[in-house]
Amino acid sequence: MDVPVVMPPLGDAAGELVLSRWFKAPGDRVDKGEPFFEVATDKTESEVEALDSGTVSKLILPEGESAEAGQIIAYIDTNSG
Amino acid sequence: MISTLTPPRTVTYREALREALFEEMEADDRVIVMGEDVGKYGGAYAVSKGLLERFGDRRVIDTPMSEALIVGAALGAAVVGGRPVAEIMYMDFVTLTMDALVNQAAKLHFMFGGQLSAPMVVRVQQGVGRGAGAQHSQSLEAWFAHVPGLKVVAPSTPADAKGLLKSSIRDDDPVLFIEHKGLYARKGTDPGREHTVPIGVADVKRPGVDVTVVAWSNMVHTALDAAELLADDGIDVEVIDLRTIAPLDMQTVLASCRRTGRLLVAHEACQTGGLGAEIIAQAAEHLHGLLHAPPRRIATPDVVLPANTTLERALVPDTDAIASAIRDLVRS
Amino acid sequence: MFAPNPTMAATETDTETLSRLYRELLRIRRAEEGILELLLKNKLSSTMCHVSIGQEAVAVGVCDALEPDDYITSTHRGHGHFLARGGAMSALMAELMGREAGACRGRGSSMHLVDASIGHLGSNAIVGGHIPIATGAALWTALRGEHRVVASFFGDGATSEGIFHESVNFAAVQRLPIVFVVENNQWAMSLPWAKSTAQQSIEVKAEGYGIAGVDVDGQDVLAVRTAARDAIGRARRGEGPTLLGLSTYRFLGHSRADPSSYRDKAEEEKWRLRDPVLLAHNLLMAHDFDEEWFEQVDRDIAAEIAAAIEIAENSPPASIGEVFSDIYATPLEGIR
Repeated sequence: MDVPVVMPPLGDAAGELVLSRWFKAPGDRVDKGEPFFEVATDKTESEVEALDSGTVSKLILPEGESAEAGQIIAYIDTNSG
Repeated sequence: MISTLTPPRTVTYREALREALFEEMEADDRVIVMGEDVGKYGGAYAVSKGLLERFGDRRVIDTPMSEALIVGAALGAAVVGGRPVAEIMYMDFVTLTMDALVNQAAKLHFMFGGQLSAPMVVRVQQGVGRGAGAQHSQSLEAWFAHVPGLKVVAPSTPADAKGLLKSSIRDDDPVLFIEHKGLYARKGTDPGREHTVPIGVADVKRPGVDVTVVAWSNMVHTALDAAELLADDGIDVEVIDLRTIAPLDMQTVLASCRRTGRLLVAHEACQTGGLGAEIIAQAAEHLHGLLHAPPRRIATPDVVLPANTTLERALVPDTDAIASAIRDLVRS
Repeated sequence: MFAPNPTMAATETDTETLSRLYRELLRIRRAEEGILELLLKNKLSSTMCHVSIGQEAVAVGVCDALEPDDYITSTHRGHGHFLARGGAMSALMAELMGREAGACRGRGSSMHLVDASIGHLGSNAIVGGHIPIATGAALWTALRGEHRVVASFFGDGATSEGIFHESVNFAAVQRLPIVFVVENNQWAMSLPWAKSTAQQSIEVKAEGYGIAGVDVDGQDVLAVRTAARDAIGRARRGEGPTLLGLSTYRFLGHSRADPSSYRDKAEEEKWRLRDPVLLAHNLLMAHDFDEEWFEQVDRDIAAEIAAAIEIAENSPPASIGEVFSDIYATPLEGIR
């Protein structure tokens, strides 16, 4: 089953949430708690861990682009592996 | 039974406040008084004189010079069942209590989903008259009208002072009770025991048909004097005493303006951002086309008040200044 | 100041107490991990959210020492205080998700929690703002002779606020039944304790006020509980307030958006060895609690949290209409 991964509401105000880096590529195995991506806000950069274990099925948001909090940025297939 | 021929007893504003405290403390043992020098000294303006002797030091509590603590602790006592009346000696010192008043007391009922409430009164006095200067004379009521969750009252007569203080003590919300140092010795009719005045209701202190003057606290008397002066010229002035600053009783003000077609707001607080601005804004929103002249305000200019009675008198609107403003309004 | 070391005081404690404390420590840890997940999934009603992971022994040790009639006040980092005092998991989760079933009916979120029925007088988003409120509550209980005690939790940062001084001074003069719990996680956002104060001993600070004060290892839940019991006992006997200094550590950033780049990673690692949950776990192992027991506790807690989140998700969102009607407790007869 593909589980959506959303842009977390980091940062305190209306600043941009930029996906600065993916630590995994499509097809990679990812475990819950493992660093999955990095978000840059106007204040700082934060590593965000995966909340589910499985295989990365799709990365939607390219590195360097911003998204609204709550917007789906990737899918993890939790049935695999 | 009192004979109707007996002239009504008069009391001072100070005595009326003291009686309200006495009566409420006698009626409800949850009512306590706390603040700087409220005990043996009897309060900076002698309002709490005699309370310590009558109720003891468990209900009349002298605190250290800690204004933020006084209001914050009054709030804490209120949250767990007390009905404290805290005294802050001068409105100017309220700046030291802003967190407790603005962030805590005003917010608590709503913020905590209605689980807690803050049945407390913070008594302060403000205003000019003694050349008390930059840090002991300010009128800051408009600041608190800007804080949802607070109730703010500013009575002008002994009867209103007593009635509103009793209502404030019985109210389940935080009330900022603003007295005026120029009013303590003023005499008025003694309303007797069990006199209350509802919070949120303005009072027409003098009915008239030509112009509406809105004032509160000590400025009500200046406005009434101006109205008397103008009566000789055939100008019939209605004087509305707001009594409650927040929430504003605009219905009474607007109804009066609809009849007179003219509005003047007079206040002792400095002009910019004063309550006059809000009242006139609401009048403009609701009375477009109904007013015969643009609404006006008269206030102390935006100055730092000098500790000098001569300069003070020159700056704060007096009877002549209000009368002159009314004449201008009526002529236009 | 307390220096962290990787062992726990071998206090004589019955295993029933120890297992109860462990369960509560883990309950708070797992709840906050769950909250962080909800945050990352964008399911919280506010972006303001501060977890106390690493500091659980403070909340658990102090609250365990309180009686049901006592009061607490809490901070913006108050999930642990709320749960340890007996607040419902579902009230916490629903509050964070902005639902009617929340502690504040969805109006307070992470920084404002309350439950008057268990003497939780509210957590506060102004650093130090609740200390005088706690003091006033203690004043009232003392005036009424109620024998209740107030525990006021606040951080090291709050000791730099003027209201801390005003409150402790007044409580000392009046000998009020209050315990000022200095939950010293070493960092006031990015400012280290050594830059907050030149006198880092809470015991010495207390001397200046003429009251009792202690410096205690805040990662050792038994040590916290013992010190809290002493302080609460003094308060209840009319012997006045205590400054209870508890050294602890915020394992994560100030908020989820703070990677705490201002902290030395070696310092973080050193404190991680003093994980209060792990310390209690090890002590239970030494008392022959087996894997099966630990697994059962894990399952119980996971089930409680899952059920709470389900209750929250099924609760209606906070209503907009009441933002006007609930400003005042006494409706105004005069407002027409």
